[in-house]
Amino acid sequence: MNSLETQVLRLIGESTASPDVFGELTDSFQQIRGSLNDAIQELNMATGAYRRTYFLPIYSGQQLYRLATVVDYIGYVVQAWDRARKYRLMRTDLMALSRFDPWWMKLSGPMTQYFQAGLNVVGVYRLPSENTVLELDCVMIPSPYTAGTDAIKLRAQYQRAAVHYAVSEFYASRGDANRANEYFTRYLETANLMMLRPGMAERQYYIGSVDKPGATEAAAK
Amino acid sequence: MTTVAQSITRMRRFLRDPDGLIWSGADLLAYWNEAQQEVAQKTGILERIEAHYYPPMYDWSYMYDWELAYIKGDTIQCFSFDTRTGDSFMYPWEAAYSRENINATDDGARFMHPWEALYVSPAGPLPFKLHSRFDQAKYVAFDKEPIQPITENELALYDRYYQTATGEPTHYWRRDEFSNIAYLYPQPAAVWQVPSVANTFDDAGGIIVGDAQWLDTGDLGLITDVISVDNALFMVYQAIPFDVGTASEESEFPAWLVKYVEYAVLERAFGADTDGFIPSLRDYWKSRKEIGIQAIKRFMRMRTQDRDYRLGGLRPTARGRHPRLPSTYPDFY
Repeated sequence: MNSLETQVLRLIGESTASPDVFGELTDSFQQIRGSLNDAIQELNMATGAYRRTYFLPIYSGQQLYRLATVVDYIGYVVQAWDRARKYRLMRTDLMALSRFDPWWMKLSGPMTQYFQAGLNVVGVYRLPSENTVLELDCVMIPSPYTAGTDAIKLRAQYQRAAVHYAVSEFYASRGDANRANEYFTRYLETANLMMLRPGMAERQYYIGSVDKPGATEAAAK
Repeated sequence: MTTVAQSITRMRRFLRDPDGLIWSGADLLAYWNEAQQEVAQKTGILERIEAHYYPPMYDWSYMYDWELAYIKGDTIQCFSFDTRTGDSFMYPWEAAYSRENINATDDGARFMHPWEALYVSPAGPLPFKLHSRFDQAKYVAFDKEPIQPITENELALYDRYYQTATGEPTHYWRRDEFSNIAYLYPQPAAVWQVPSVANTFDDAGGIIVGDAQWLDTGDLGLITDVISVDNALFMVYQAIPFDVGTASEESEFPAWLVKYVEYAVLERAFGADTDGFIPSLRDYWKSRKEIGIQAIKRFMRMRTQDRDYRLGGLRPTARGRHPRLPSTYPDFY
């Protein structure tokens, strides 16, 4: 049991020393662990806080590469570095590339740009003329941890938010929507993700002034 | 990958219905198929990148609509279907002659399987089916050169022989969206790789010519497949997910996005008019789903953070300072 799990048990009123219902091997506990994993993944997805560098072997004459990791999941690439040439590849996309050079899949030469298509395909421009290695700095989505001793791949500032997320789902599983909502709001506030909630207070923006109910009468007086 | 069965187990904990007394497995699967389509269409997160051989080959070519119910695999409808009489015919004059004894001129050969068109002078365009999960094209290239969409009306206005013109393709067009069939314009005259197209439209999609499984090691943590686009139709498109038939199937969503489909299923389950109808929980999961969709959209926006946007297209060059007189000089003299 890790520190986040312990904190969840405290908030739901369970003993942390000798849990009554939420022993580490029980299904109930797996639900809490699953909620924490979901929170960790969502927070990393929404903030892009967790990055790793991976090494992409580039084959001469091959431009498109489908990536699949065995540890964690690739979110997106934030930098591509050609170490052999000490060169940072500029990010582009298929539309821009096609407009800039319609023969982008035909002309070979040193790589100057890269793009990402879909969730896991990376392409380079120009068509590589020699084998090399590209260093890709990627925002990663952590794979779920499965044991209390596994690393928690979440920035310390967000760990408390993840606890609130799990507590919210605990109350939802008990049928208490009010408390579930209360803790989910805490999660969003603690993680500073309130902008994700679409149901924020309605606002109407104006340039200049606007007549409010009763304003005309007040001005007349 | 996560199977739908694993998700159902998780969802049943939230539903407090572990034995399926209120919501059966079939109910949850039906909600699942609806929910995954909602999340996919609201976010556009599912993109497929594939290379298809051309000309395509199909397991079956059929004439009448009713035949479709008796065949399985990749299919395409051949010849023309006369909605006036319900007949299938090869040449348009047949329709006029069989009823009215009217003769009409025609030219070119008709074909049953699309690849046959490359061995004759065809009377019509060579059809190829888009992927069954195709939603919107993001990028299409043929033999490494980009091709643009065009409507049939524009094309007919521009070239009277658009159905049979051959050359290097510059455009693709679609007659309708229901049939999911597209055509290249002009049609390529060459024949490629006919014997090796068995898996053209399978779920795996892309044609993998290089397979570097030796990279599957803990040190590198990366498996790389190479996508070949030589002589192929390269397509990037937004996809809609496959319907799940049984709970043992895997979701098309990456494992870290499956939870948002689960939230949408829970919203539907608690909102259904059953003994488990609980509006407060329905609203809670609806809110979770909508926040999740916003999170996915934010994630997709963040994917472009390495882009370097600027007006004008070029980085402004640094200007040196103008030559100046020493400060000890008088202001004027």
